[in-house]
Amino acid sequence: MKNYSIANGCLVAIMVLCAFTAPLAKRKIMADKAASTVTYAAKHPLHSWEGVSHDVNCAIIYNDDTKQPETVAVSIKVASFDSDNNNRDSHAVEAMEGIKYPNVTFTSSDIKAGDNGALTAKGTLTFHGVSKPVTLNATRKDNGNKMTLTGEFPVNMTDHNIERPSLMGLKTEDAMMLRFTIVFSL
Amino acid sequence: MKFICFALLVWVGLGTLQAQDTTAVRRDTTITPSQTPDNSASDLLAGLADSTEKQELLPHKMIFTQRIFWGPKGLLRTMNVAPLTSEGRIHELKVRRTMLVAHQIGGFLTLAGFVTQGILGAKLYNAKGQDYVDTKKWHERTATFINISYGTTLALSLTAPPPIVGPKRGFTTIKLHRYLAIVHLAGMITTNILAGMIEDNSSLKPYHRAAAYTTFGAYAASILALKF
Repeated sequence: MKNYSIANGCLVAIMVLCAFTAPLAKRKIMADKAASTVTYAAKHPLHSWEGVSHDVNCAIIYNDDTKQPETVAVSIKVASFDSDNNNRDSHAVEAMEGIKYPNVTFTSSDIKAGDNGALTAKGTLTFHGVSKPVTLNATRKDNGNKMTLTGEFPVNMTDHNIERPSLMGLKTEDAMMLRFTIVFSL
Repeated sequence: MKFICFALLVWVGLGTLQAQDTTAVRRDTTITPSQTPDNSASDLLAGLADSTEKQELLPHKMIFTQRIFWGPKGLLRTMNVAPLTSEGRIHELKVRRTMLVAHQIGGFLTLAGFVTQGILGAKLYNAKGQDYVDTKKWHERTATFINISYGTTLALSLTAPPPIVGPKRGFTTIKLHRYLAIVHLAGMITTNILAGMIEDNSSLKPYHRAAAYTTFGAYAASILALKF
């Protein structure tokens, strides 16, 4: 009788412990802000310049089974872009109505992995309150437990109803190039 | 007993598929059940939006002439002419844009005045008789025009509403534009003072000319600085 009770107790204990076994799962991972950047490149007849944001808020849903990101969302404050000229940065924020629309965001609807670390992310880019579908091509590099996603894509200001800023009567070119480098710790 | 062991094996097998570990969660991860792609992207974004701070309405630093009018306790705030609200700042930034465009126009008009004045001054330096009288008259009229356009251009810059983004550390071309402005402002004042003194002391003419050329040089450089 005593042995039967002990055996039953052990079995129950084992069952309870097994219930807490960590499974493989999808998990949310935040980007490493210190290592991640998004840069825009713009052109004006007088000069070309780039503005960098080191304040990249980005999160992915990462599948530990497939070792692939499945969903990505990015949100960056428009005022965080620094082109080494605060007057120009302010002008950019004014043109993008940064008080009314403080963030530029991207959310993915589909991410496909290709060969050699290529990723194709379809999603929606929201800029100046206007949402447009975009397809981003990124390259994935793994270094130890760090995953780095890099890529670039064009954006036209007028597509998002942004009035092109001007200096000395000359307007900035409509097309900008956005470049990203986003680092995650897996 | 065999039945219990079999049940145990099935339970462990199910447990590895379904159970969640809530005791060892890394700081940068959260374990979430799988959702439809659209919902999880929106949820991810909502989580990020919470973490982004609200846009500051005023820059952390502004020149004292702006602070007097547009600072948190500036004249226009205390008189309730320009209350510090999001809508108010959106309007102010439009005013700022208009004033800075006017500043650019005034700047080019002043530059044209400087060039004209340089030609007239060079002619006046060697003029004699009636030619000297006529040239001097135009030189003084042009000086008046330049003083008005320069003063207006300066006032537009100093009193415009502050930008959204404040100045950052380190050397920038916009700072160079401002440092050169200090030089050409000092030059303008010196040139005008010496112009008034030449009537009684004609030996000051070379100094008046040197001050004028230095002013023009700093002025032209301050415009060129914006090219880079």
